[in-house]
Amino acid sequence: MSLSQVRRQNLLQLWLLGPVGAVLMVILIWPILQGVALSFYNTRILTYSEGRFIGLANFQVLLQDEYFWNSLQVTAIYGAATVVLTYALGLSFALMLNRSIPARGIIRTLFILPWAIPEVVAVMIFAWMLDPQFGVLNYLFVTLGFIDRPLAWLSQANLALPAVVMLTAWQQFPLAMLILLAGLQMVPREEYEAAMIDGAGALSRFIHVTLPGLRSVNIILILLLILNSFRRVTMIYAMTKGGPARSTETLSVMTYNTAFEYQKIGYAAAVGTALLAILLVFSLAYFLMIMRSRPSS
Amino acid sequence: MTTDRQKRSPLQIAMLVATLACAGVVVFPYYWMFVSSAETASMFSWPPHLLPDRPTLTSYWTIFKERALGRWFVNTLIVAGSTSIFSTVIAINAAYALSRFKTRITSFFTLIILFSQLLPAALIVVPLFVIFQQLGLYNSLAGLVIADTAFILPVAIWLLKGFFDQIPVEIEQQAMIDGCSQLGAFYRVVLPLALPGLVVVVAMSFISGWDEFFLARTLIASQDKWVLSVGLTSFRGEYTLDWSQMMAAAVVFTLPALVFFLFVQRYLVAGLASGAVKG
Repeated sequence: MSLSQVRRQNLLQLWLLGPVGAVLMVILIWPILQGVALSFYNTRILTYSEGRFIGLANFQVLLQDEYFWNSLQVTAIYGAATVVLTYALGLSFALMLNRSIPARGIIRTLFILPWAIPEVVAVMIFAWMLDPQFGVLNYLFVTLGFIDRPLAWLSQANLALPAVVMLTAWQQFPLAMLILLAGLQMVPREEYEAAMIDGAGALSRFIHVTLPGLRSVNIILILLLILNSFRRVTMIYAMTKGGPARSTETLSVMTYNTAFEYQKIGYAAAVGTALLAILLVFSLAYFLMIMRSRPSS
Repeated sequence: MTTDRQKRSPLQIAMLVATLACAGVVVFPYYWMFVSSAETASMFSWPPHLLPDRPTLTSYWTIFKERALGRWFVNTLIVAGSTSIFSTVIAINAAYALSRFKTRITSFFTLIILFSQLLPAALIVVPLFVIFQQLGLYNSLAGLVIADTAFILPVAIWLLKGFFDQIPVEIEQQAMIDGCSQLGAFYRVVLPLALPGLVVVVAMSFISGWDEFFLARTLIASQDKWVLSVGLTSFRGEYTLDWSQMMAAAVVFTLPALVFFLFVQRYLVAGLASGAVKG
């Protein structure tokens, strides 16, 4: 290629990619950089321009803030519980669908439906189903003997987090199911046949063929679910606003509340920056796993 | 072989029944939303009844008459529609570049696009709130459209790139030999072939814009500019909470997104699942 051709190619690429670059720059990249920068200021929302540079003071306060440690704990519990529950549901349903059953397409669509509902609607339905007086889930749990009497799930500090976990798992298991279903279909059929010839039963085939076959999909999926649980804010905020008594306040929700409820912009940015740092570690692992799984496909 | 089939048959039927039962549990919240929206006072009973007692559409009437739901519906339609158009148009060009060029520029953009999918929205909105006030975009539907577009673009580009990757390069090379410029070959030859992909991206970004709550809650202040997701959530904070009206509003809000979703779910599912498995 001649020099002018190379230049024309570069211009073409800039023409094609320029708008994305501009939009992402203004709405995502620049705010993130500014968010990190703000964490070194004592800015408050009403006096944005009057913030003063205070170095690492926000982070020093952060380390002694019991609410921050509470939030870290909530994030860890919420993340672990939703990942385990989502994965368990996703794998069970993927295994159910990965066999020849009649009307498989329609049944699969039924299983995907929770994913199609707007998050705030899912929140509203669950809030109604968990209503302390007339909630159908309360009735179900009492009938099944899980609880003695209807509970006020969303106004009790020890029950709100389980309720939010339940909602999250219901809404996001279809993603896990679809990814695992795609993974299951990549496990070579011959390996199952070989195992059957060796006389392996269903459970043994699952442990020795299915699980090893899903290894790389599993790791990527679980990292993705962890990342999602750290970043998730709409569902938790719409359900409980982080309450009652901060019992559902993950780092994402704490960042938001600190900024918009308590109007401490600089401090909120510090919380958000801590969240970003944790996210970066997991994102790095996520990208490395994706890179590594690529050549095999 | 016949004995084998006879032996397995009951087990298979049992599995099918179990699968259907699970599907029933999974879609129950949907069912409950519809049932509750079609009742009024009769829904407040203990034990709850599975079928509506005296089905009525009163709640649907009430929410449109007594609430600003119509207004919010129009706002949501404007936001979702514009978001869909803008993000698709921008994504088309970007996805084509990422699909066809392997240069330092494109690998830089690939990195940025992957990276921005993982950023925490909670941290982004804090400075964005201030930036939007400075730019005069705060409390305007146009500002919300821009923000929504940016949040959807990475996914839209990635999805569309998958569709372009499947179209052989030879097709546009042929068109270029016939005298088209590369851009001309792309718009006239490749784009029509990628029509299913375009439909998927239009629908997907419409759904995302339609459902979006967090940005709308943060960047819009006045009630007459609210979108449905924000308006609906505000019902819950009220002193007299009418669950029937709320479920009716939920149905009105869910149906358009659901219809779009069912329309494209096959392609969307294939794209997302293979994207996650193969990277």
